Amino acid sequence: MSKIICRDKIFVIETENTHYVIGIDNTGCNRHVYWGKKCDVNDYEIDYNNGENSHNTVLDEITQEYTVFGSTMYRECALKANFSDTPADSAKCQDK
Amino acid sequence: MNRFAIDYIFPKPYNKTPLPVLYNSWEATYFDVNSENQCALAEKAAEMGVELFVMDDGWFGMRNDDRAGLGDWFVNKDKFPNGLTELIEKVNSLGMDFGLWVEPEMVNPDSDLFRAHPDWAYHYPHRTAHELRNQLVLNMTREDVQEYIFNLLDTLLTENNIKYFKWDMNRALSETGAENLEAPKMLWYLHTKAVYDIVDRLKAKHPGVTIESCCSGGGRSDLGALGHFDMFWTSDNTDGIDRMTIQKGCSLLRPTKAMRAWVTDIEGINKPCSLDFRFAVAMQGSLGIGGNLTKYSDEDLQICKKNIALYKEIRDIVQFGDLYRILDIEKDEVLLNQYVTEDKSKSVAFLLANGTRFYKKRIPICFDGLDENKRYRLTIQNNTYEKSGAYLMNVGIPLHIRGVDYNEIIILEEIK
Repeated sequence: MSKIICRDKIFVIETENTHYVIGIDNTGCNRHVYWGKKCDVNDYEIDYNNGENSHNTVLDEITQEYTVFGSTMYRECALKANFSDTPADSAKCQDK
Repeated sequence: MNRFAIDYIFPKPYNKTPLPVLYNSWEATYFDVNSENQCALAEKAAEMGVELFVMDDGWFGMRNDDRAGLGDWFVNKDKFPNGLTELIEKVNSLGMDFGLWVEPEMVNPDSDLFRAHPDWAYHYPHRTAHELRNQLVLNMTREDVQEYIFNLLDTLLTENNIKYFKWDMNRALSETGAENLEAPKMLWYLHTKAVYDIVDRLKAKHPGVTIESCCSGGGRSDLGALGHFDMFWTSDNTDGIDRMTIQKGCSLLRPTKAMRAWVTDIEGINKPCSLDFRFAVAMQGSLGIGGNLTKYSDEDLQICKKNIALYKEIRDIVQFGDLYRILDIEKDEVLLNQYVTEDKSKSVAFLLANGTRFYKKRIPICFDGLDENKRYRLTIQNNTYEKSGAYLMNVGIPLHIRGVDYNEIIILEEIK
């Protein structure tokens, strides 16, 4: 049996032995937090790094649960969408 | 690969000319540049044996930090009331060439250029154009943008005795809207081609000028770029310890001469290693010095002077010789890289270690790339040997390599 535990903006999928943890960070980005052996549900936190430099961007460094193309994210992505009003580049998740 | 790049890739006619030892004042003065502090640094650099003095960011527009000014490639009159002439004449009188930092593809929204031409930066209508390091990228596929950049850089070279540009590129592209193009996806090719064309045109019009692809953000250090640029910036990571692996990776594809390698003060905040150690790492490429010379002791300056003099003796071997990677710092605890001239008459080897195990036993140091039948003279750990190439490559010299800061530069010369 598995269950989903919601704690603020952190979501824990719990099975007999494992946790799969995802969340929404303070900029609205979906984040992958953890997958592995069960821990105390209340301990999970979303790490946020705002140190950006000419080598890498914040979006490139954070772990996302589902990565979409565009903005300043340069890794392989899971989804690339063409919008009708603009060429192939989807809006950044902060742009809601 | 190295010989191929020298003969067929590098821009002529300087493909076989060794690169000068440069000093760059970024770490000493950052954005706070003026004629007086640059002249003071130039005097120290010249005393050390530097051949090319480079002023980095901060000299143009309203550039007092990284939030404004990119795009306005006009000398800042507050910092240089008499233009750059005064400084350049001083640098030249000290026997050095003068070079300048630019980042031509970029624009800060806080700049006269952007205020006049907001449509010159890549963007999509209805979408945020994301800034990185407070800057946007100019749409280099536009002819008016190309002409603007060419004309300003051309003017700088025409009005001043500038022999080198450090062409930086400090961000990756995003929201790459190029409405001027019928096929917008062509922009990647057209942007790169525009950069190459400007570099080629500047060099054709101003013989003697070399241009470095300062590619930390742009990643522009491929062999395509090296058909236009004369050298590239290897990485912002100039930590002497890290550089041993960075330079190895770099050397697998890229010619040694093109790899700018600096001695900097980064050891202060990262993994300590001595000034001599940092020189022994940086001398395996085209040597540059980037530290804050105003904080160097007389002893430090003497160490710089000694190493720069040595580098001038060996740089032809390093920049044009064949590289043999004999011991790997990560696998073997010890780094041994050897450079050998094509005729195998001269060689230089760099032996480095940054923390071997306490009771590390003696290991035979075997060289490579020599002529078996030639005899060579070398001094290592204060002992002088005269041995055949065959002996040096197969039997080797047994050595204790101990300590956290082991660095030795070994010159092998044929005995004729």
